[in-house]
Amino acid sequence: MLKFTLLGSALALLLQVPLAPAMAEFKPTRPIEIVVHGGPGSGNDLFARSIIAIVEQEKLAPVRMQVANKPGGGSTTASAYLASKKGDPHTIGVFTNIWLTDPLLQEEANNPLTSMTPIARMLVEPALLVVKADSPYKSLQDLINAAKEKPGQIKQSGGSITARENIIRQLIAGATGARWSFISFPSGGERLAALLGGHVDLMILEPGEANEQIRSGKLRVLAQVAETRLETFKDAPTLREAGVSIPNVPQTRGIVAPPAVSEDSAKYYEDLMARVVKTEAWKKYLETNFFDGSFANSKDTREFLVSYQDDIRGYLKESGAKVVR
Amino acid sequence: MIKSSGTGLNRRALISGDVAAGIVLTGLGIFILTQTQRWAFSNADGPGPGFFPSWYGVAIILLSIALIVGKLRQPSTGERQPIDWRSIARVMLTWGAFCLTVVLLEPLGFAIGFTLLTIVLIRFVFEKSWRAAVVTGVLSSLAFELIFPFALGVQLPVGLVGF
Amino acid sequence: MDTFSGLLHGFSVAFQPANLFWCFVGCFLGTIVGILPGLGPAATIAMLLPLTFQMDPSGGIIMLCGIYYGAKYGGSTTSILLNMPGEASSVVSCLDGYQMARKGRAGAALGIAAIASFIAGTVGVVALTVVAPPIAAFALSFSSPEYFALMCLGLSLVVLLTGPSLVKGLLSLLIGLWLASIGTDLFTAQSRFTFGRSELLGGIEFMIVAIGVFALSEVLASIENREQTRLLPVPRGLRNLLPSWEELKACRFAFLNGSVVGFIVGVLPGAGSAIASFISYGVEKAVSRHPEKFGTGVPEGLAAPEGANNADTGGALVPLLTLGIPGGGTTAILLSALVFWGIKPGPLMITESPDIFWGLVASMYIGNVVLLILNLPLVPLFAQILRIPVYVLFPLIFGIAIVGAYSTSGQIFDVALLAIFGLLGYLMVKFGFPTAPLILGFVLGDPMERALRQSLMMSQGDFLPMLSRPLAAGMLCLAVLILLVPFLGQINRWRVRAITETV
Repeated sequence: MLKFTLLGSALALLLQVPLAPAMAEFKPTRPIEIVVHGGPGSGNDLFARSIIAIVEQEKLAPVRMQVANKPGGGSTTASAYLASKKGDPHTIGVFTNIWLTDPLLQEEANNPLTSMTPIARMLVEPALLVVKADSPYKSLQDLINAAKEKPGQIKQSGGSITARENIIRQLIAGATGARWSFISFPSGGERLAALLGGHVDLMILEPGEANEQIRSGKLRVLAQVAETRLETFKDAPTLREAGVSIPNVPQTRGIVAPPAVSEDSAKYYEDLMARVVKTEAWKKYLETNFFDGSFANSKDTREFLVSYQDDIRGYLKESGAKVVR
Repeated sequence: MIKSSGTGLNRRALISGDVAAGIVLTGLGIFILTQTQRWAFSNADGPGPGFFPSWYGVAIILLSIALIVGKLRQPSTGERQPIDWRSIARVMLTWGAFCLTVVLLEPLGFAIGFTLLTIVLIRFVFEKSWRAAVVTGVLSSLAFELIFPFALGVQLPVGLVGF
Repeated sequence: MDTFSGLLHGFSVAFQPANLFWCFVGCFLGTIVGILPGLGPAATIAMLLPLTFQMDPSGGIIMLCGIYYGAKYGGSTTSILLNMPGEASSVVSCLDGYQMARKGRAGAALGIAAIASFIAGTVGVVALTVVAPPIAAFALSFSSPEYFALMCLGLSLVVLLTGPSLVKGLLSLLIGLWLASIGTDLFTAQSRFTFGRSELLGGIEFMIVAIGVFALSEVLASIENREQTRLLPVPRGLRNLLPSWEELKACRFAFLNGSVVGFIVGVLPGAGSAIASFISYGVEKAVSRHPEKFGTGVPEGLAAPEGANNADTGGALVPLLTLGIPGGGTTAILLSALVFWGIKPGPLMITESPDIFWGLVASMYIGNVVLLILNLPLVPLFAQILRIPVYVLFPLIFGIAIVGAYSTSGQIFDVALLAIFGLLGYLMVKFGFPTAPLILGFVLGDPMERALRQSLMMSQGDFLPMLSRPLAAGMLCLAVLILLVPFLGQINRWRVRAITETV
């Protein structure tokens, strides 16, 4: 059946070619593919599937949408795939911070996000700096003082050195002189297990990952990595309130189209996403995951990405990573 | 049957598979070690990316030398079986057909590429009739298309023709 | 609510007709996706997740978990019949399972796999019910040094997996270690051994190495020996399709061993079920009275890893449900599914959502029975696959391999890698290198390097703290002991020869 619809839509496309200039507005005519750099069940996969569920529930698009998982090489496989769909109006992708960092650090990753067509920034993820509940550090200042007293003794668990948690660590070290070591673990589960087992001292992670542990009194929040306090954790200060003034390092997620797509189709997806973020279901999605819904349109997203790429390049250089671009 | 003394060099062994494998693996070990030079063995935080590969690179070289030396010192066990080149050719034909299919997956897609592979294997490797080859090729390809993309939604390579 | 009344309550939830139905649906779907490569439980759950939003949460989670443990039952089918492991944990099942099939005991092998899965799966759930909180605390006590020691213990099993030449086995293992380090280094984000290909930045997918080195090399080797190749014998009659009493009796210890090892390793978030199956196979061979027969198709060599693979499920749910920590890919998506329903797995789950927690646990008891009933009748059916003439079957194996490789990433490049590993596997067999150690090295290489570097970073470059931790030191000593066993045997032979020569 799928084949017939594909064949049919291919025919329809062929027939439409002479009419194309007359049609000002773009409307998708075959299923839309959303490229995701994680495997099924990863955060971005679920993000894409949530958008699809909303689009289908509210009937926002005339065609079906499907996820295309392109894991491998961080974001590089997915971005290479998206770049290969140059000009294709029926393919879009989900970007996150690593779409910016991978091309900066890896020679082989040669499809930078800024070469594509940003559609929208959908959300910004806050983060929490947490310690174990029985930790001697009651406040961020305690932690900073202890780190200064015995440099290198305090340990943080996290992902790759390109991850936001390491960049924040470097920024705190730069601002306060407090240094501690950063130990990489591949999965969120292992990072959290290392903290709960007392093998490391602190972690910077997303509120959704830590909330249950905080609620049950196993972890304590020392500070929030956000502009303003989150409703759920209103007793914990933001980094700035805790006396550490470092630039905010947002973790973002958004939608990007391949390079060189028509303005009409970019506009279409921009409007589609603008309608998605207005739904109740989207608000509920943001709420359950403690995301901050700071939507930005295509133009703003491009500006944001270009300037943010420069910021990140600077942070990565400071943190000792080898920047190739 | 040639019998060499237990301790002397065994000349026949020089052309044996073990020695060839040992030489290739020594090469791999050297390659690993040269690559490792580009990465830090250790840095301020602890061992670097070159740490682990250096160890197993050295181990590969030592063990492959042990393999070669062991083989050269080993007494010949007797006449070696003649290599059956016809069988080897059959294997290489199969493997070559598979490689060609991989190349053709991009332009032709799974359905056509796999049908062709099946036909080639059945006709030339198993030497069955053309009819058996074509019927099996088309039917099994159809079965794959029905099970994976159609029933399970698993994507298969799609060629320029659209399936 | 104590355990007993909790479980009773759970059964009252799980036995509701709707939930019973969803449990069956989940187990059935799981069996199918487990058998077919190219569609894992994680992908299936992700696809079905949106459909379950309209369902009652307990019914939904019961079904999704059914897919998870059902897939483990099906995973061994292609290992036994085609020497094609569907996931990392069924590699070990190939070693003796496929050899059993070659000896004409394919039906028996499938039956033993189902029974081992049932017993160990059930033991895993019982353990999950009874000891979840204390065992979760044990899991947290595992730090990087312990993981490193565990991986060393796993690697030392190489001596049990090699044939006559230990040197060749070790070389095969080292190649596996090298292949595992291809890709981006987690700690520094530097790429290693990628030959400038962006496709290699994420490393090589396990499935590709395993299918290439096991299944494709087997096909190539069979094509080479066409004169001797007959169809694998499939005796007729139900009697020959089921495991015999002797075979089951030989597996007694393997059932227990697989259950215990699988559960304990499953609990550890950083270990994974592949190492559980390797260790249980090693234990089985080490205590066996006829270790030399392993690898030629002994039933206990299949029952132990297959059991471990399934007991692992119960273990992996311990940190997920009691701590909110997912251990691997599939448990991570189960966690997301629970969050979608507004259920937060974690320390408070048992008290806040007892319906879900106990309903799920109870449904796993039922699910294991369902799977046994579902799988045993399928055994004669699957055994018929071997009746397909080779000239049809071999191209089909190539097709399945292509689908499996392509679906892991959606890149043709991965199918090309498959061709390379097929040739590598064939050459290894030709030159007398055992292939199992390569897989062992490939599976363990990455976690081992990581754990070693983490440990040294935590101790600031000092090896000593590793040895001062009793559990880590114990496992390291055991690993060294296992590695020394063949040399002890060698020394013993010299001694015996020396004595006989002097006398």
